Formats: sequence, structure tokens, C-alpha cells
Amino acid sequence: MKKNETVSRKIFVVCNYVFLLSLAFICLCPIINVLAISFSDQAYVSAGLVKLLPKGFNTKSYEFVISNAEYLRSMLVTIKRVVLGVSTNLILTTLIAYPLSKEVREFKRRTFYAWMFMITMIFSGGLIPTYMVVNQFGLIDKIWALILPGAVPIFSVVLMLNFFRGLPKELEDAAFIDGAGYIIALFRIYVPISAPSIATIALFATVNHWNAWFDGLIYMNKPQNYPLQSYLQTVIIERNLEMMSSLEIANIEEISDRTQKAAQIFIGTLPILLVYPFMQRYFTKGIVLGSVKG
Amino acid sequence: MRNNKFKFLSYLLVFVLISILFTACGDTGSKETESTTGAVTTGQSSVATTTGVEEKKIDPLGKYEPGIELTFVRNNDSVQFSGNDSFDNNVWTQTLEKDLGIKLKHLWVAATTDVWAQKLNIAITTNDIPDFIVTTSAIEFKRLTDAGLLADVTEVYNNYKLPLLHEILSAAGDIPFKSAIIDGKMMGLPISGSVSDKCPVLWARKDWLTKLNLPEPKTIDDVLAISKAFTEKDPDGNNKNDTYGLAVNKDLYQKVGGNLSGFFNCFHAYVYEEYGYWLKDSTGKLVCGAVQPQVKAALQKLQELYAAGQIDREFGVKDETKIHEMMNAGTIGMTFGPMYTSLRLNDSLKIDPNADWRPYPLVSIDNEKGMPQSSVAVNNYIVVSKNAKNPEAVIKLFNYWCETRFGESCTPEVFEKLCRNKDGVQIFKYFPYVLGRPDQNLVTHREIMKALETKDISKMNPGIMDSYKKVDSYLNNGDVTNYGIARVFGPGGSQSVLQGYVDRGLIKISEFYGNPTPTIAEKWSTLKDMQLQTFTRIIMGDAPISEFDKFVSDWEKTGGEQITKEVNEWYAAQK
Amino acid sequence: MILKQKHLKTLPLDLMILPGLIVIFIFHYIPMGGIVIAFEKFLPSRGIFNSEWIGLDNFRYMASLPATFQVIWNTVFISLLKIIVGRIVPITIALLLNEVGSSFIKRGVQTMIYLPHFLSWVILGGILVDILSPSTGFVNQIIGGLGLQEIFFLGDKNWFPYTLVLTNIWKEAGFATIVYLAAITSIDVSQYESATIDGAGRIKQAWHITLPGMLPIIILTSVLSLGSILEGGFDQVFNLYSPMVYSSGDILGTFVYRLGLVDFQFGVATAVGLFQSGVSFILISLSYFLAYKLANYRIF
Repeated sequence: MKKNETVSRKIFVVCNYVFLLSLAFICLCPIINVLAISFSDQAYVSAGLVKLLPKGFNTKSYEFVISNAEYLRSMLVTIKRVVLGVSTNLILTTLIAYPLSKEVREFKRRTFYAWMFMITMIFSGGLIPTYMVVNQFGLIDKIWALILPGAVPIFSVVLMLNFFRGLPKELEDAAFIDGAGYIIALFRIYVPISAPSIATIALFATVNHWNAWFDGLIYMNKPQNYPLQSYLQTVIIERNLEMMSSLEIANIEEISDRTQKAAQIFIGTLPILLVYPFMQRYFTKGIVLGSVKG
Repeated sequence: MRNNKFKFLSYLLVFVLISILFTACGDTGSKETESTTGAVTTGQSSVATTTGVEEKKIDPLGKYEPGIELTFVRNNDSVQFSGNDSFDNNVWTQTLEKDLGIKLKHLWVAATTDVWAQKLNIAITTNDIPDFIVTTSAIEFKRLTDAGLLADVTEVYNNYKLPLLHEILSAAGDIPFKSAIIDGKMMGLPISGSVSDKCPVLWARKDWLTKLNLPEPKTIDDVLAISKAFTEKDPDGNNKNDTYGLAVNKDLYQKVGGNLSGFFNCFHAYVYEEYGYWLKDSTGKLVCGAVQPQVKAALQKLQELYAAGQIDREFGVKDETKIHEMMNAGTIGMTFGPMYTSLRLNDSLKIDPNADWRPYPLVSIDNEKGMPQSSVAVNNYIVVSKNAKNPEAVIKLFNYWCETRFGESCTPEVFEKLCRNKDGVQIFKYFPYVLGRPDQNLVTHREIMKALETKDISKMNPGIMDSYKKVDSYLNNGDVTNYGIARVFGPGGSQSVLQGYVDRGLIKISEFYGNPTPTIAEKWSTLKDMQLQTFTRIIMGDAPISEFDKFVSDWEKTGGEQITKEVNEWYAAQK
Repeated sequence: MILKQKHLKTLPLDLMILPGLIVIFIFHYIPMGGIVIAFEKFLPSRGIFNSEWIGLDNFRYMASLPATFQVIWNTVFISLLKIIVGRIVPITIALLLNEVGSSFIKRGVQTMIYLPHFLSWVILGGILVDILSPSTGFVNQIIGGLGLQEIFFLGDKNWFPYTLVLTNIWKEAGFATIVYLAAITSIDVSQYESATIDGAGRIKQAWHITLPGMLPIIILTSVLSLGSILEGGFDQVFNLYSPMVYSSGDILGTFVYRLGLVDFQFGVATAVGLFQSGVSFILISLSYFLAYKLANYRIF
């Protein structure tokens, strides 16, 4: 093996590292910028002078965030949403992907169901009708309004069903021969070896739930119920003073503190950044094979 | 194969049909449930209130016993709470309940303008509007009235209004009230702003003027000379060619920093108001300012400035925030903008302690004075739902507000409890809508100037006192965080420039202040869009100045002509 | 219908699907009734089923606006580019990452490249105006250093679509890479082993084993992206565009939004949505059919 380590291979490895690390740095820049702003003096930020390093270092903005009840409360809402939402997504996705991964000759109604789900991915009634339905079911201001409408992520279903299709049929057949039914086959055989797929779907679901903000603003009537990103939107968006009749100075005086915004954004992004490294070990090679030989 | 496909398609069809049926049932169903529950509650409280109203005398600030509930929806403009406070539970809601017996309940809060529009549409569709709303635009008011959802408040207003409330609402004359009258009925209470507060002002860095030996701007030539010098003579003294003469933002004639409305006014051109700036032509008819010949000269000059590098080549992608950044950082030295522009420039002193932004009145290209534009069109109306059980409660609410904030009840203790503005927490914002006196800023400025001279603040309204202390802290203690407000209310501040406009009768008010006409509602966004694109391209030299003429004819064809007709019909009916 | 023995056998499968079916029925199919808004002069006060029926007028209105076709073309062009670049870049990165030995570096780089995904375009917009500035921006300083003329990425209408595609890749590639890396890990390790024994170098292995192994996922993500070709990425365009680049950068969503159609002419906005869905449906069906016939690959 060693004699195959040609010069060209060495060059490739080095270039590869350089390329990937520069790429990583480029992608890191915006977060570094936000971080720098959060630790800077507001004056420098207002003048657009803060790039990658803080100017006028101070931790005032973080002190503010930690003591800001609204911020912390909204983070709790998001955590609740993520836990409930991801579990719901995973369960429903698995339950749907498995039957859909079967061939038509085995499961006749499969095509019908597949079309049912597909169509929802393409056609939608729009915001007002959906809101009316959510309202009718009494979900406004409840956490389930943020979970149920998106409870079946079709993209994940398709991913998982393709994954299931790629698994060796022998596994399942072995179980059937032993007298197991579909349910056992799914939960005892398929699920345990589907770690990469489940991890991927869990990651998507977590990120989507963590980042979603529009539904929070529409379905939550009371700001106390806003999830984190919805709350952040209220903080980030600049007030539009043009339509205001009264330009009484006291009313328009407060200037948004951008360092506070930056700190809130950064802390709001931190937890989710740690999810992927945590899930990394599930993306390892060769889990599947090992169990079928012979 | 065919059989299966057919079966499948029929299942699909049945499925979809069932869903539509569900929606249809659900829709009417919701209306039915709504009205039944509505009927029940109205039944109950109408017993209480009808007897109440018949027996009690009409008292503008009378307390409801037992208490009533008043529902509202809110456009949340960055209100901060402390502790367990919320919109439904804070010092104001508690006070209102205690003194008026009114329990305020927010049905929902919208965090941004987009969400507000969506939720309001949903509320109207589901027939679920609150007892009262404060609209955010004239078109919203029109929609609500067209939808027949509002109550006629003529009687209730006349019976219950406090003189102070009426004084404040009519401080701008009765034009605002006229706009609220539809078919002879007053459908809302207009909240008008100050005419002077909307006027553009010219801001320039005096320290740079002094450094470069330039006179303060009195004519357009002065302004052009300043722009040239600021660009070429390295006013920030860093030996780099990095400064610009005139700020322009990507919205051209809107927002704060880089708002060119004032520039156009210097050329006697009036290019923008919410539904167009309308002026009288020589025949006495109304025409739209954006398509008048004076605009061409202004655009031509802007084109020259851009080509000469006096306007940032990248202005087209920079919004007002970026412009403020540049002004704070000391890369732009002059801008037209509203009177409160300096509030965004506090931080420039931290970067350069010598920075000194001063407001100047608009200049002119000829012997005719430069007349700043303004408008009396109303965007905010207090409207009451026709299903509200206690419409007069809304009037009482605002009576109480006026009395507390501007009336005799405004003692320092009351102010401190309900109206203060300290450490970023603005308690007065907890009240549903911050109704201000239209001329408040001018009054504040006058009072502050007097007090700076006499040092006598014993009789000052606590609200004004707040601002006075801030101005004083900058002028006499060098507290830089109040620089902005000192340049508004202090000596030589923007309010004094506005006062000058008022005294010399220079303010030119748009002649159209009615509600949007049908074609405006339909086509105005397209015309606005066309205008912004054309002007931007001309300024950048992407299109020759003759493009303006093409714009005028396109404008007419795409609805402008029809709109002009409708506006003139309205105008004729006003006489 | 007599329940055949065969039907009963697969009943557990039907039961598994049932909860999901109920959820989408309630939250997707019932609201679909609202599609009728596209054919109405919708007034919120009249409600969904009582507004005036005007047939295809909303569609005709959109078609009559002079900029509509330009806007649709922009949307298609930008989306297609995004789809193509959005495959090539993450796949390349995934392949390159796959070659990295150190799992620490691998994980570290993966985490860092998926960071931009979490910042909203509202924030990135402000940052990009600075980075891409022709005069003071970092990118152009490099370009200038290479002796080339500076490029006004955000303001030049010829460049803007490409700017959109490139910045979008910068934001999303990291996350897509994860999907492709996951696909790579599911490839049978023994294939690599036998290839190495046969003397195939890394590049050959990548070309003949890894890529084909990823093909199903690649096709899948491409087809699904194709379905949203008329969406174009509202958030991104809205926060990055300006009047200077409307002619090449305005997409259907921002166009509809800017004309106030979303708030005040809901019928037209819904009609546009329906149009987008219709095109999406045709494209997905077409690609499903093609993938099946040509690659014998069923997507779903």
C-alpha cells in the first residue's frame, strides 16, 4: 500500500486540506462577524466598522440577553417544539416510509397513498385557509399548531423510503419466515439498522423546527408563546416609521441596539450548531452490511 | 392496467371532493358558531349596559361597574416588558381596569407589518375583528369600511369626547375629519400627525464646512459646492479618496438617511407621497408631481453628481441602515432627511468627536424659495367594530389617555408611573396607541428654548421636561448619548428649522388627502415600482435623461391617466 | 367490496399509514379548498366561498402585466442554475471530504460549512453588501489583487443572477453535503475493497463506485428541487435585490409581493401560487416518468 502513496497523491491531500479549510473559514465568516458585533461597542457597530474582530470589547449585550425573560421564554418554547416536533416527524415518517417502500404487487394501495402524499407537497390552499383549519381545531396559541401542519415532511419520507428500498430484502424475508408480521419487521429489523437515515431525518427535522419563524408569528396570538426565531424576527426587523402619524420624539427615539440583536442571534444559533457534531457518529460507514453476510 | 388507473383516479377525485366539502362546511360552520356565541354574550352584557347607559349620565371618563372587556389587536412596535408584564397585564391595563373598569384584552399581536396585514386579512375573513383597531394605512381603513365591519362613531364621539381629546384630534384642522367621513357617517377617528414634522430638512457636517472654508448652504449652488468639496477635498483628513458629498439610499425618496425628497423640493419638484404627491396646475386641476417637468432638472443634476463620483456608486444596493453607517463612520457629509435624522447619528461623535451635524432649511435653484413638502393624509384611524358592545368605551379610553398625558392630571408622579421612558423601557407604549399632539414637537422645542434661557422648569409638562433634561445634558454636560435629541430640540435644531418653515408659510402640502380611489388601490404599486426603477436608472446614467419622458407617457398609460381623473373628481367634490 | 384475503394481509401497512394520512387530510387537503380563491375576486369580508367568481381573470391579469414573462424567465433561469450548481458543489465537497483521513478535521469542516445555513437572509444581506462591495469589499479586493476589474455583484444586472446562485450555494452547500455524505456512507464497503484489489485508483473508485452509489439520492434531490423551480427563493432575493437588478433578479414571488398582491389582491396571489403548483406538478410527473423509463428508477 505504501508504495501507492505517490507524489501526486500527497499533493492532492495537501490541496484538499487547504481547499476544505479555506471553505470552512469562508463559511465561518458571517458567524464570526455576528459574534464580533455582539462583543463590540454600539458606536462602532452603527458606523459599520466591526468586521471580524470586536471593537470596544464589552459583554453588555450578553448580560442583557441572559436577563431578558422574553428571550429565555421563547427559547423554552422552541426546545419544547423541537422535542415534540422531531419525535412526531420521526414516528410518522417511519410509519409512512415503510409501507410506501413496498412494491405494488405486495401492497396494492401503495400507489394511491403515494399520490396522496405527493400532492400535498405540490398543491396548497394557502395561508388563510390553513389558518382557518388550525383555528377550527383549537390549536391557535398551542404548541401543536407549530407541529401538526408540518408533521409529515414528504422529503424525509421519500429519503427514508429509498433507504428502505436499498436494504437487502433477505433481512425482511428472514423475519417473515420466522413468523413475524410487518410491524415487527419494521421495528425490530429495519429501524435498528437505519441509523444513518434516521439521523439524517432527525437532523433535518431539528433544524427546520429550530429555524422556523413564520408559523410562530401567525399561529401564536400572544407574544409569550413565540418560539425563539419568531421572537428574533420581532427584534431584528427595523420599525417602519413612515406610516406613523405621530412623530413625537419620545415615540421614535429609541435606537435599536445592534449589539444586543447580534448577541441574541448568536445565542439563538448556538444550540443547533452543536447538534450536527453530536449526530456525526450515526453517519458512519458500513453499519448496514455486517449483519447480512451468509 | 386501465381498470386500476380508473379506480385510483376515482378514489382521488372522491378524496378531493370530500376535502372541499369539509372546507365549505367548516367555513359556514365557523360563521354559525361565531354568531351563536356572539349572540349569547351580547345578550348577557346588553342587559347590563343598556340599563347602565339609560340610567347613568354620559360621563366621558365614567367607570364601568361591573367592568367590561374591550378587545384590541396590536402592531407590536418593539415594546419591552419587564418581569411578568405582558400586553394584557401591565401598569396601564391595571390602571385602566381600576379607573375605568375597562379590561383590555389583546386578541393577537402582530410582530411585523407583513404579519399584521396577513392576520388582519384572516381576521376579516373569519369575521373575528376586535372591538377596536388602529389602522396602519388609509387603504386598510378603506377596506374595513368597504367590508361594512365598522360602526358609525359620530354619535358616540360627540357624546363622549373630552374637549382635550377633540382638541388634539383636530389640531391639524378638520381635513383629517373629512377623510374619516364616508357617506355622511364618521367611520373612525383620524389621528393626524404634525404637518411640519414630515418636512424634509438639509443636514450637513458643520465641522467639515468650517474645515474646508465653506459657507453654510443658502442656495443650490452652495449645496453643489459643498457636495463637490466633501468629495474631493478629503474632509476627514485621512489622505484617502473615500468620502462622498451627498447621501442617497436605494429607496431614493423614502426613509431617513439618503432621502432625496428634500433635494427634489429644492428644484420645486415633488415626487413622492404615499399615494402620490398632487399639486395644482395652472388650470386649477390636480396633477401628479412625479411626472412634472421640474423633476427632469433634478434628475439631470443627480445624474451629474453620480457621474462625478459625489454620490456613492453603490447607492443602489444600500438601504438607510447602510447610509447611517456611512454617515456615522464619516464617509458621507451631507444628506437630506426628516427632522429626526440626527437621532440616528449619535454614534458619529464617538468615532469622530468633532463631528457636528447641523440642520438647514431647504435651498432653491432660483429666486423662488425652496418649499418642503408635506401631507395631511391620515394613515391611522381609530375604528370601532360594529359588533362592539360598548363603543363609547373606546372614546373613554382615549379620553383617559389624553387627560393622563397632556391634561392637568399629568403630575410628575403620574408621568413617572405611566409615561416614562427610561433605560429603554417605554411605559407609555403599553397603551394601545400612542396618540400625540400633532404640534407636540414644536411646542416642546419652544418650551425647551425658553427654559434654556430662563432656567425655569417649574411649570413644565413632565413629558417636555424629559426632553429638556436630555438636551441640557448634552449642551452643558457634553453627554454624547443625547446629541441627536439636542440637534432636534436644541438651539439651531431641526425643530427650529421647521418652525421657520411654519412662520414663513413655506410648507407645500399635497392637495390630495382622500382615501385611495379604486384605480389607486389597484395600480398604484405598479406605478411606484416603475417610478423607482426609472429614476434609479437615470441617476446611475444607465438611461439618458430622455427616459423620463418615456416614463411620463408609460405612467399615463398604465393607469396614471385614470388615477388623475379620479383624483380630480374627488377634488371637485371637496369644494 | 369484499375484502379479499390479500387486502387483509397488508392491513397493518394501511394502519401504519393512517395517522399520517389523517394529519395531511386535515392540514393539507381541507385547506386545499381554498384554492378556489384563485378564481375569485377575493374580499376577506365576503369569505372564501362568497367572493365573486371571476374564472380565469386573475390569471389573465398576471399575464397582462408587462414584466410577468421576464419575471418568470428570471425565476426559471435562476432556479435551474441553482439546481445544477446545487448538485455539483455539494457532491464535490462530499467526495473531497470523504478523502479526508482525520475524522476530527472531517467533522470540524462539516460543522463549519453548514453554519451559514442558520443565519437568515435578513442578516446575510447586510453582511453581503459589505463583502461584495466593489470598492471596499473583501471579494473584490482579491479580484483586484489578481489584476482583474472589480465586479459589482449585487448591483450589476448581468451578474446578479449568478450572485444569487453563488451566495445561495455558500449558504446551503454545507447542509446538502451532509445528505450526500450520508448517501456515501451507505455504499457497500466491500465494493471499494474489491476495486482496490483490482488496482483502481481513488479517482476511478470515486467515479465508478461512489457516484453511481449516490445516483438515487442525486436524482431524488434534483427532481424535488425541480418541483419548486418557480419558487426561486423569496427570502434570498427579497433581501439582496434592488431596483438596479429587477430586470434580471426579480422572481415571481418578489414581483407578486412588491405589487402588493399578497395583501390586497389575494385572489391574484393565490392564482400565481396555483400556477406555480401546476408547473411543479407537470415537471415532477415528467421527471418521475423519465427517471423510470430511462434509469429504471422509481423515485417514490
